[in-house]
Formats: sequence, structure tokens, C-alpha cells
Amino acid sequence: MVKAIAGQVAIAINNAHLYELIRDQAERLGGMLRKEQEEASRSQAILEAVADGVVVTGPDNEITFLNNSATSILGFATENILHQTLDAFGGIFGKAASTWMQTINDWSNDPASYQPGDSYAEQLELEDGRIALVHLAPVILQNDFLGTVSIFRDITHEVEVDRLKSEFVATVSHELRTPMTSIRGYVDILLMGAAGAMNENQVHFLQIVKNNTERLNILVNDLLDISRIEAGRITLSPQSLDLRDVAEDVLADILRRSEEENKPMAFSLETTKNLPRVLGDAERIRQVLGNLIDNAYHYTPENGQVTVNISATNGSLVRVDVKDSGVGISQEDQERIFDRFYRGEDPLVLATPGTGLGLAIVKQLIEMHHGKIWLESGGEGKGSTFSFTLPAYKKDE
Amino acid sequence: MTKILIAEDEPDIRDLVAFTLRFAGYEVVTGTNGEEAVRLAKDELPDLILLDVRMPRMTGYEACKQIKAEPNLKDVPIVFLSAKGQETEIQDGMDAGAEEYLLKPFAPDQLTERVRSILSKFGK
Repeated sequence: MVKAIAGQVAIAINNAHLYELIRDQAERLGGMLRKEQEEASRSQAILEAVADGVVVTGPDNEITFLNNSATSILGFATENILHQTLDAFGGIFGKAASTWMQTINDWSNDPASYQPGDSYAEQLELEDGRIALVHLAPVILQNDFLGTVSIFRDITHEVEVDRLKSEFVATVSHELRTPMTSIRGYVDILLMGAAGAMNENQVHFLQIVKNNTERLNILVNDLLDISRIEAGRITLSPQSLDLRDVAEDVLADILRRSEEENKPMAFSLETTKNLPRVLGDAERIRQVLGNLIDNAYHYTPENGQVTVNISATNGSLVRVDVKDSGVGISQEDQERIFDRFYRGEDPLVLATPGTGLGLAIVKQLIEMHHGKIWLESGGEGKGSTFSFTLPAYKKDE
Repeated sequence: MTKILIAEDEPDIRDLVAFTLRFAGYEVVTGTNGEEAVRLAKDELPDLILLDVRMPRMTGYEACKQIKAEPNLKDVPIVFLSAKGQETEIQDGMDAGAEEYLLKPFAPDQLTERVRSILSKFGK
């Protein structure tokens, strides 16, 4: 009997242990479940609170979640979208729908092809005319495609502001250049003698009007350029360029001007053999060289020297140095020389018409070409060298 | 005598261009907007057409398309007069069939030289 009782007690003790074990595990699981539920609620709250639309799909492209912002941006009711497949809404992607579907299929069929950071982005015009930006990225875990996450943002306002900026620049350009065309044109006609002979004073005064019109023209060009660069409205048309040709062209112009103005100056161009071509926008690179060589000419007293040197620094860069024997730039001015509207205080600089925008524009243009620009000067009276680099042209670009 | 049609809504610029080209020895016909440009092109059959881009009633771009659609005008060279900063309009003009563009402000001698060069290029 004792044995039987002992046996029963043992069973009871085992049951109690088992019971405690089960109870412990249940509590632990309950705790974990609660934590997960809290986490899920928190995540849901965050997703509902964001202004961007979020749409989540599963591995079979079925829409499993979308937040209020998504329904608001896309203009669909939640019940109409949830559990539908994403391709049912390919219509909102318009012409890009086939690329979009192909992208998702590629990720789904070959998750290994996905690189971290890969995503698909598209600008969509919605049915009511609003513009939305969508970023679509896959969810991949240990080489399994789990679905996608799409983020939608209403960018109608930004697109409109962009359009207005562009319209503003175009309108200002037209409105400023129209009266300038008349002023310049009629002054030139008078100077040509087409409206009759003029005396010396009349010619002189008209020449002053013409020179100031040219100053105004340069100011308008520079202001519009800097405005367009800062608004991101400048588009480069990169092509393979021979910098030697561009430099020769610019130097020919400046030599002509030096003769017309009776300001003798020695100009020279030095280039290394087998100079690589560069990748650049022809008009803008000419603008850069034109500005630097122009400055070198203007800020060097007569009988000075302006040298342009073009060399290959290594296989991937071409360097241009524009060196003058002119007024030089003080250490203090060197730090600000590329700032907008900044001009030095040397008498020759102040006597030369200028907006102070040229170098600021040049710097932006070089940087848009992924190049660098810098200057060296021994100080006042010791000349200056402005240098820039541009990427060499690679044939497969 | 070589005949040039100018369509420009700004009277000062229209008169400037007309004076300059007459002084250079060309016969000049003028219009003040895109619609007039199309009508005058059909009536006068010019050797060269200068069109401003921004004009009332019909833009230079639209006028260019309509002129180029006329069988007896499709080979007449068209030059746009435009301000820098309107590249998209210039490209639209080129796409519509214009041959060249001239940027404002231009000097009269530049205008004459360009006109001469374009006429020569098109064998006129």
C-alpha cells in the first residue's frame, strides 16, 4: 500500500512539475504573443499616421495592407482594394505598367537578383489630374520573395511649383530681352549710319549706350543662368569634346577683342600630346573657358601674358590651367572669389564691368560635370591661375 | 528680289528687323501674330520666314507647323526669333520643322549675316 501511495504521490509530483512547466511555457508564449500584438499595433499606428501612402502585398501579389493615406492618394476605397492583386491596379501606372509588372515578376522569380537598395520609382498621373510619386521595393528574406511594399506620395504641389519656376524664368527672359533687342538694334542702326551721318559726339554717346546695353545683357544672362542652375532647370548635353579646339576658339575671340580695344596681350595655348577628349556640354564648357580667359584678359594690364595649359592628369581626368600675369588675388578674396556677386577691390577689377556672378556660375557648371575648380595666386600683383578638371571621355558612355 | 516674311508681335522689334533687312536689300512683308503669318505666307510665298516664338492668337510654333503643312511652302526655310531661356520652345520649333533660330537680343549685322547665310544654304 505504501508503494501504491508513493507511486500516486510521484505521479502527482510529476504532474505538478508538468503543470508548472506547461504553465510557465504558456505564460511565456502569452507574453511573447502580447509583445508581438503590441508591436503590431504600434507598427499599424505608425503606418496609419504617416502622410505617405503605404501598400503591402504578399508573395502572390495580393494586397494585404494599405493605410488611410494610400486610399486617399489613390482615390480607392479600402474594401475595393484589400485582397485584390496589384496588377488589377496596373492602370494607375499608365504606360509604365508593363515595366512595373516585369520588375515585380523579376523579383518574385529570382529573389537572388535583388540588390539591397534596389527599388522601382515612377511618377504617375492619377485620373483626377493629381501627380503621385511611387517607390516600390521587394521584401526578401533568406532568398524568399515575401511580397512588396509601395510608398505613394502626392507631389502635385511640387510639380506645379516647378512648372511655375520654369514659366517664371522663361517669362522674365522674354520680357527683359525684348526691350534690350530694340535698344541694341536701333543703336547699331544709328552707328551704322543707316539713318544718316552723325557727328563725333553722337557716335561717342551712342557707343556708351551700346556698351551699357551689353553690360545689361551680360547681367540678364548671368542672373537667368544662376536662377536656372539653382532651380535645377539646366540640362547638360554631354558629348565627346576636344578641349584644345574649344580653347583655340575662345582665344581667337579674345585676341580679336584685344586688337579692337588696342590692349596688347600675349596669349598662348600649351597642351600635352595625345590629350584625351573630355565628356562635357559643348556650350557650357565654352562658357567656362570663355569666362576664365576673359577674366584673365581683363584683370591683366596691357602687355601682360595669358597662358592656357591643358594636360591629362591620369587616365580619367583632364586638367585646364588658365594663368595670367595680372593683378592677382589677395588671400582674403581667394576665400570668397566663387561667391555670388563677390568682386575684389583692386582698381582694375572695379574699373571692369562685371556682375560678380561669372565665377559662381562657372563653379556650378564644373561641378555639374563632376569636375573640380580651384585657384592659386601669390597675392596682389602676382598673377593668378584658375584650374579645373573634367572627366575624360570613355568610349562606351 | 528676295522676299522675307517677318511675324513678330512687338512693334519695335518688328520695325527694327524690317528696317534692317530692307536696308540690306530684301523685300520685306510683316505680320503681327501667328495667324497673320500663316495667311501672309500663303499669299506672298516668301523665300524665308522669320517667326517670333511667343505671339498672340497663334504661337510661332503652331504657325510653323501649319506653314510646313502647305505643299507649296514646305521647303521655305523658317527661322525662329527667341530669347535664351526658352530652350523647350526652341526645341518644339525645331521639331515642328523650323531650320534655325536666332537668339534675342541680336545685332542688326548679325541678323543680316544669318539671313544671308540661311538663304545661301537653301539656294535662294
